[in-house]
Order: sequence, then C-alpha cells, then structure tokens
Amino acid sequence: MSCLDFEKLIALDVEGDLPERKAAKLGQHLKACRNCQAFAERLQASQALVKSLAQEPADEAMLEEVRQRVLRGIAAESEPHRFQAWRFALGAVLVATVIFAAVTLWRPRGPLHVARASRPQSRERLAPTAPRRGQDALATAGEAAALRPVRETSKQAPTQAVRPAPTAPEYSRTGTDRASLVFRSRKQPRGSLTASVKPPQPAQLTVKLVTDDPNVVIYWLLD
Amino acid sequence: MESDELALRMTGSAPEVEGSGSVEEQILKRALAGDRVAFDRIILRYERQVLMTAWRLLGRREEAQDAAQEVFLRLYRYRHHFDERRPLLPWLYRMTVNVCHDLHRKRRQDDALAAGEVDQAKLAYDPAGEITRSEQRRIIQAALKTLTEKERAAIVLRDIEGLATKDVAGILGSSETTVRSQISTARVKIRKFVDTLERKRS
Repeated sequence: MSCLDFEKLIALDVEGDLPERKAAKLGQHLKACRNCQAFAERLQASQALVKSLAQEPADEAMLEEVRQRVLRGIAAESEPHRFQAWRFALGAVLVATVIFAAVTLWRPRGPLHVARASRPQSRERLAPTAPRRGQDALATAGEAAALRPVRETSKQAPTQAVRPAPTAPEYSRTGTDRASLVFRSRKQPRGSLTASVKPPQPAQLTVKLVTDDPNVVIYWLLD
Repeated sequence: MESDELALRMTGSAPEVEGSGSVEEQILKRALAGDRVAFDRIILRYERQVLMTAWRLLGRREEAQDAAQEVFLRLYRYRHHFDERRPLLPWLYRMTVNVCHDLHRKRRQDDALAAGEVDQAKLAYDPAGEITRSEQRRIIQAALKTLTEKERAAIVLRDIEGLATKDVAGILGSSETTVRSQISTARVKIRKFVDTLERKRS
C-alpha cells in the first residue's frame, strides 16, 4: 500500500471508523512514515474545525423566520381544503336540484303508450294466453265495467264492430292495460287515443277498441 | 407543559411521563393528528438541526431556509403516513437531504464549484496573519463546497451532526461501506483544501 492509500485509512481512523485489523496495519505504517504521521496530525486539526461547526449557534431570527413560513404554509395549504369543501357542497346542491327537477317534470307514460308501442315479440309472448284472456281474464270489476260498453256495442252492431285484424294490430299487453285503455278512451277520446280513435267527424264518432286477440278489434260508433 | 418544552429544547430529549410514553412522543402524536400547536412545538424542537444541516449542504442561507420550510411542510402533508412509533429525527434528516438534493439539482452544478473558488480566494487574504474562529468556519464551509453532493451529505451527518455511520447509511440509503468511503474521501479533501489555503498564506 502506498501513502496515498494510507491517507484514506488515516481519515477513517481519526474518528474511530476504522476496523481493528486495518487500524493495527495503519499503526505499523505510521511508526515508520513521518509524512503520514504529519498528515494524521493535520487531519485531526481539520477534523476539529469541521466538528466545531456543530457548536455554531443558529441564528434565532433565521429560525423564527422559517417557523413562521412553515406555519403560514400550513395555513395556506388548509385553505384549498376549505374551498374544496365548498365546491363539494355546491356540487351536491346542484345534483340534488337536478334530481328534484327531473322527478318533478317527469311524466310517466300511460298504458296507452305501451299499447301503441307494442311490438310483435310482445304479441308472440302473449299469444298463448290471448284467446283465454279475451273472455275470461276480465275478472276484476274494473275491467268488467270498463268493457261493458264494448259488449253492449257488440250486441248492438255485431257486423260493424268485428272486423278483420289490421295489418299492425294494436292490443294491450295485459288485462289491466286494456282496462286502462278503455277507461281512458272514455275520458280522453281526442288525447292519448289518437291512434285508436278515428278523427272526429261531424256526424259520427268511432271508437276503436283493441282486445287481447289481435284478430278481434271492436269499433264503437257514437252519434 | 412550559417546563417540558424547555427541557425539549435544551436537552433534546423529553422527560418520561409515567405510563404514557415521553412528552415528545405525545407531542408528536398530537402533531401528526393535525394539532397545530403541537406541530409548532415539533418545529421548535427540530428546526435547528434541519436548518443547519440544509445550510451545510447548500451553503446558502436563503436556500437553507427554503429547504427547512419544505421539510416541515412535507412532514405536515405526509403526517398521516408517518409511523409515529419511529423516531422523527432520522426521517427529518432524510427529508432534508432529499429536499437539498432537489434544490441542488435545480441550481446549476457548476455554480457550487465557482462559489467554492471565490470563497477560497477571499479566505486567502488575511492581513493580520491569524485565523479567527469565524474565519475557520468559513474555511470549512468553503471546503464543504468542494465535495460532491453525496460526500457532503455523509460528512455533514457524520462529523457535524454527530450521527453514527450506521445511521448515516440508513438516512442516505447506502451501505455502511459506501458511507465510510465517502467520509474518508471527504475528510482527505477537506484537509487538502485547508493545506492549499495555508500554503497560499505562507
């Protein structure tokens, strides 16, 4: 090892960072090398200077300034959270308003629309039960009452009431729908029954009633 | 509580409170829970170590203040992730080194070397022929600037802050062997810097 290599060992040994085995080797070299001895002495002096920095008093004004800056920084960082809380609250209010408005303005579509929007697959699904429902499914009093005029009309003008099925027959999905259809057809002949009710004519009003059976369509002629 | 705080600041260690851990632990716990007053006490307790370490690492007062501020702000930001059972000081040292590294990277690297040369020229002028204590410190401060960033961090933590080599290795995320090598190189460099200065004087 050269003196240059021993300098590094001296630099560690001066603060006790050198392992014993290497320290012993260095000790032997120092006994023989005056240059390294001198370097070790000078290194101890510079180390004393370095370590004296630890005793250097901190500038109190500097410390206070840092502390104030940190506290201000913490306060500033808390501000956005408060702002975010406000934004969150505002957003929640807006969402609630939109939901309220949607619920208030929303009008559920009536059964007639269901009937009008009926599609072939609905017919297929209901087809097996349709003939039975046509006569028997009118179990409730409401349904019976609703269809009473139809039966009467059928008796009065059977040849006119029963016609061949239209190409795109309209029918109710359920018996309840049909009852609603009939009920509405009485109250709103010109409103939601636009598709079923023929345009009013000066002399005669014709009401078209749809049954579960797509082959049976009842027309009610009113004077 | 006042006397506890005084004890904290003077001795650096907190008195034990029977059955409830040290006062320092309690203050740290409260500070990490968001108590501003407790956090203020934590700053009071550790600001000297953080600021002076940053000053040694950066060599500039204003930057050291910026670094110290950032270290405590990071502690506040990440307080929920801090394990209160672990000692705070090593974490603060590690954060100080990291923040100073970031600041150092932002500053152009040749700046530090140039500053060291300027200081050396200034220090070489000594009309009285004697080196005062404050001047000695300036010499060492200038010598620190001639070190690499890692060497400087190792020597500041080991020799100035007085930490054990093992702790320095833990803070810097290096092996003890690496830290020993950095310390050794740094001490030799400092000695040679002072030798050069003395030769100029004579």
